[in-house]
Formats: sequence, C-alpha cells, structure tokens
Amino acid sequence: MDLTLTAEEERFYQEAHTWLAANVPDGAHSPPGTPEAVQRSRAWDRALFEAGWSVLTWPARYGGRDASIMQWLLFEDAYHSLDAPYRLSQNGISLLAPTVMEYGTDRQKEQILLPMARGDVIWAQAWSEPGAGSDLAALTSKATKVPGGFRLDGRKIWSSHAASADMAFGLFRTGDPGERHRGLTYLLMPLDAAGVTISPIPRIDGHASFAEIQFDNVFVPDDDVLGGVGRGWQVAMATTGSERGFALRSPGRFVSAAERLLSLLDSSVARQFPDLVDRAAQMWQDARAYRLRVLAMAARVGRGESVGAESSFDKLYWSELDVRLNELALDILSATGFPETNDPKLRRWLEGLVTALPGTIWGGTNEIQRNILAQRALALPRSY
Amino acid sequence: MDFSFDTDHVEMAGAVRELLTRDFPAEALRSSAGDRSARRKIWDQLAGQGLHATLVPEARGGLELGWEAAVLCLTELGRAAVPGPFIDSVAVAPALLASAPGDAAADLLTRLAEGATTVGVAEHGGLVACAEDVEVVLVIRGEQITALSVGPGSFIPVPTLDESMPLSRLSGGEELFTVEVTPGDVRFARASGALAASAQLIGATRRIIDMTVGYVAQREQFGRTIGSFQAVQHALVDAALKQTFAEPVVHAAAWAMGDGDYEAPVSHAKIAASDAAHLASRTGFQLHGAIGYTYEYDLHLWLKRAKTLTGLYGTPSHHRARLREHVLSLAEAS
Repeated sequence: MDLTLTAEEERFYQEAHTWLAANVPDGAHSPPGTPEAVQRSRAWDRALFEAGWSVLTWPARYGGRDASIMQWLLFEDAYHSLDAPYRLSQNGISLLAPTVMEYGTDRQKEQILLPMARGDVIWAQAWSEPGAGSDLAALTSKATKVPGGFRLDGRKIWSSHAASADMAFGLFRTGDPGERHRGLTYLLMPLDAAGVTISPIPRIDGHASFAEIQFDNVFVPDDDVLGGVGRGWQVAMATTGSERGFALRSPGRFVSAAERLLSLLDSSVARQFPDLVDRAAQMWQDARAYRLRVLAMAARVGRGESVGAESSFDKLYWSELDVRLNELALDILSATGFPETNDPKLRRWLEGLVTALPGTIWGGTNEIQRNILAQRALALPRSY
Repeated sequence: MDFSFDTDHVEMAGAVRELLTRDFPAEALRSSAGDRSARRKIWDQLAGQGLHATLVPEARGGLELGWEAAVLCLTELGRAAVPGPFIDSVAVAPALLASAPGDAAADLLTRLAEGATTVGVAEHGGLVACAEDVEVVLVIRGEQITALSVGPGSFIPVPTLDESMPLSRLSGGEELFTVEVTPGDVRFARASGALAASAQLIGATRRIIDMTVGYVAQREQFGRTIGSFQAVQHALVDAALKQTFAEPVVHAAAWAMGDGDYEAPVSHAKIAASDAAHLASRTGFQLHGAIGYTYEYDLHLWLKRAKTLTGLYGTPSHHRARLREHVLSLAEAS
C-alpha cells in the first residue's frame, strides 16, 4: 500500500494541471440550454480532444491515450481543482461509449467513437418514458421491423440535453409488451430524422436541460442496432453500471468542492456558527472517504476484479454527498449575509445545487439502487 | 499510488479468521466470560500465529509487520469479539515502549511479542480494559511511563454492559520500572489505541450486518421472509453503505501510521468506524425484533462490544473536536 503519488503520477498530474490551467474557458459554469452554452461545450470538447485529454482511458485509435484509471482520476482531480466546466458530451462518453466498445460492430466503433471524443456529435439518452421510469422494463415505445430496418413509435422523456444533442441511444420494444425486459432492442438514431419531435423541459431554475422526444414512424436502419435484436436489456445494463459508479462522478469533484467550501469558513463564521464548522468538518471527511473508497476500487479494478452491483453503493454516496455539500455552502453564505447581489461565488453554488439535486433520481433512483444492493450485494430476496 | 494490501498481510489475517471461526464461535465467547483459562487459551493460540508480534520491532523480538497487517488481523478479532486486552497489548504498549530506554522495557516488549504476558494501559481517566486478564499495567504521566505489576486487588470494577470487555479503575500495583519516552511516542501510542479500536469496530460491524442479513432472510411474516420488504432492505443497505465507506478510511489510517502524518486520518477512522457501528447496531437491533432483546440470542454480544470499542482511545466527540481544529486550520490556509 502506498497512498502517495509516484514520480510518474505526479508528473502526469502536473502535465494535466498545467494544460488545464492555461485552457479552461472563462465563465464556464453558466446554465445549460442556450445555443451559446452548447457552442462553448463543443469548442471545449474540441480543445480537450486536440490536446489528448478528451477521452484519456480510450484506445489511441479512438482519440484516447490508453490511460489507466489512476491517470484518469488524477486528470479529474486537476479538472475539478480548476473548476473546469461540465461537458455535454459526458452522457455519450460515460454511458454509450463503454457499451459500443463492448457490443458494437467495427463499423459502429469507427463511426461513433472518434466524433464523440471530438465533440462533433453529442449524444442523448432515450431511456425513460411517461409510464416507465424506475420500472424501465415496462417501456412501450415500439420498433417495428420493416425491410432494411425498423420504424420507431412512442415517447421518451427526461432525456438529458436532448435539445442540444445530435443523436440518441435508447431502448425500444421489438417483442411483445408482456415480455418486459426480454423483448427490447438497443437502437441508435439521429435526432434530426423525419418524425422526431423534441420538446425541451425547463428544470426548476427555468433553464432547459432535459427534453421529451416524440417518435412518429421514424426509420432506423438495421446497422444501427447495438448488440443484437432482443438483447437490449442486457446491453443497456452494461451502461447503467458505468453510470452509477465512480466513472461518472470522480472524487476530484467532491474533494475540490469541499475545499472551496472550507474557503467560505472565515474566522467570524467559525466563531458565530459552530454548527456550520461541524458540518464542514463532516463534508471534509465524507469527500475524503469517497476518494479513499474510489482509490480502493481502482486498485481492485487494476487487479482485474469486476465491481458489479457494488457500484450502486457509490451512486448512493456521491449523489447524497453532492446535495449536502452545495446545501452547506449556501447555508454558510446565507448565515453571513450575501456580500453582493451578483457574487459569482453565490451563482456558482446555486448552479451546483441545481445540478446536484437530480443526482439522487437519475441513473436509477436511490430507492432502486437500494433494491439492487439488497438483492445483489446482500443476497436478499426480490423485494415488494 | 496503490491502495491495496500485501498478499502476506491478507493471508495472515485469513489465518486468524480461520482460527477464530473454528475455535472461537459465539458459544466460546459466552463461556469465556467466567473462565480465565479459556481466555488465556485463545490468547496463546493467537500469539502462536504471530499476532502479538505484529507491531513489535524486530530488535525487540517482534515481526515488525506494521499497521496494515495489524489492522486486518484486529478486524478479525472484532468480528469474533474475542475478549482480552488485545488493543493495549498488541497496539498501544508496543508503541509506548518501542524506543523506551533500559532493559526492563525491552524485556517486557519481548515477552509481549511472544504472548508470554498481558499488558493493559490505564487510560480514559485511569480505566483499564479487561483488567482481570492483565499482569502489567502501563500508566502514562506526561512522557513518563510507569509499569506496575498488578493482581486481583489492584482494581475496582466500574459498572458496564459489556461483561466480556469490562472496565476497571486502577487502585494499586507494584512498580516494576519507570521510563521516559518522547511526546511523539505518547501521541503515536494513543493513535495506535484509536486505530486498533477502529479496526475491531469494522469487524464487529461486519458481524452485526451479517447476522442481521441472515436473520431477515429466514424470518417469515405475512407469508414471506421479512428480508423481501423494502423497508427492511433499505435500512440494511444504509447500514452496509456506512460500513462500505468506513472501511477504506480505517485502511488508509493504517497506511498513514507509517507515513508520519497520521493524526487526522486516525481521528477520521475512529469517527467513521464508530458511526458505522452505531448505525449497524441500531438497525440490527431493530430488524431482529424481540429476539434481539434476549440474553439467549447472540446479537447483544456484538452490540455491547461495539459500544465499548466506541469509547476507547477517544470517543467520537473527542475525535470530532480534533478534526474541527484540523478543518479550521485548512480553512485558514485556503
């Protein structure tokens, strides 16, 4: 065991930090959904790609540098310590790409991965439906077989960044409705295809960040099935696994947020409001615990062990931590009186809270995560 | 960066676990309460596996394996709730005496490493854990360590719930030697006690969670096992979640003991292990229903042990106060 960085790791961190410090764009954390925000995100992806930082852990032929998980964690540490911006490409990179690498045909890999890494093609997920949220296997959007492909009909909802995205990936029913998770197929489709209607849904601060997608007789060729007809559930579960674990929420995010939080605690706050100091001390511990847990998991993955259902523990932990961190920062700022009406710090924490809130819901609600853990980590029976 | 244990250390702890599973089941824990020779027997068996020598320097006849090995082994002692002055003898006394001058201290340490004697430390305002089993007590006064030979008349028992790890107030004893150590030695010894208790806590917590999972998986009500109800499942998952994030904190503190910068990591470990033990205890007790409130059922043995361990070498409040200072110093620096 050695919890210090090797000279090589230290060098890697410094290289990432130096590049990011010189290149992170200003005003990065403005709310999503505006055309300017989308343009900025694409340009940032492009810059990261050209410098080799966009998709570190991917093979070089798809724009990566075959980096280890440890190197990715170090890059993320640097990324969040500089408060670099959220990337609209995140959905594709974290959720679709691992599935394409595992199940995709060679042609799909060539067509999808490089443009995704470059920020040229932004992907949205099309999972949930009005009647199929936590019970995803109840979905009813249909893919009907026609010569050369499928016709899609139905409605998908809560699709993150669909209004800004170029393409979508999702599950459609190719079997009988009664088959639940057995009759599903994983499909890829352009969002500007004939018959696709996108209606943005403003989130609680009024900014559009997710959308409803209506499919009316939309044609998708056979080549855009991912992983085989009728195998959609098993293919999709591979992506939800990566969505839950540390792949989407690296510890750097929370360690940096805890550090920014501590900088709000000046001596007058500490004197007047000891409860805020206690809560800040707890945040410091919780962010540190998350970091240590991920480092232990990274070591296990490095030894070739698979993480499996245990990643749901991480999802529960980071999603709740994220909300508490942002809430506490705002509690500290309100206790001391907001210094200026246009304080960028205040705006940053407000945006942080709005972003953190749905974390306990998306990617499988935390109730569903607890069901998964009860059954797969604790080996308890199916629940009621 | 490599957050993984050496295979040798994992195997050593595996052997300890195997021994305890075979020779120290819950019935043995119960019958050992009034049977000093039974307690001495498990003490000797564990000494035979090298446990007592783990943290003793080679120059004093120890194995000097370090804290990573010690934490894994002590976790197994917590899982089995082995009674006896293990925290003081295996962890605290070696830290206090490792660099103490004089032959008397060196001899005591050598005999400790062999498991040939039992040592307690008078901490927490002069309290000694498992005093009945202790032959020598170390008293810390500033940087002065006095070793006392003790016997049945040297202690006054204090009321406690955990009869397998009772606390007693030191009231006498015959001085064997007094040595001067450094403030760093004393700090390190207290951190050693806190970390040893944390390691035992995560073992005890694992046992409580496992017992409770086993119970709810077989107990039937409303025509199905109660472990199939979400209210039960989610409570257990929350207990397992706290434990899952406490374990790496304790493991990282073990590494920090060899790094020099160990104080905040150890305080964090004691808090995290205590909090996880508390949630698992409350959840385990609740989900067992009435059977968990009986003397006959084994759950209380671990609930009581977890409570005792939580109080040893700094309560969670003590360690929270230290981390509060730590965090304020970080805030000032930022």
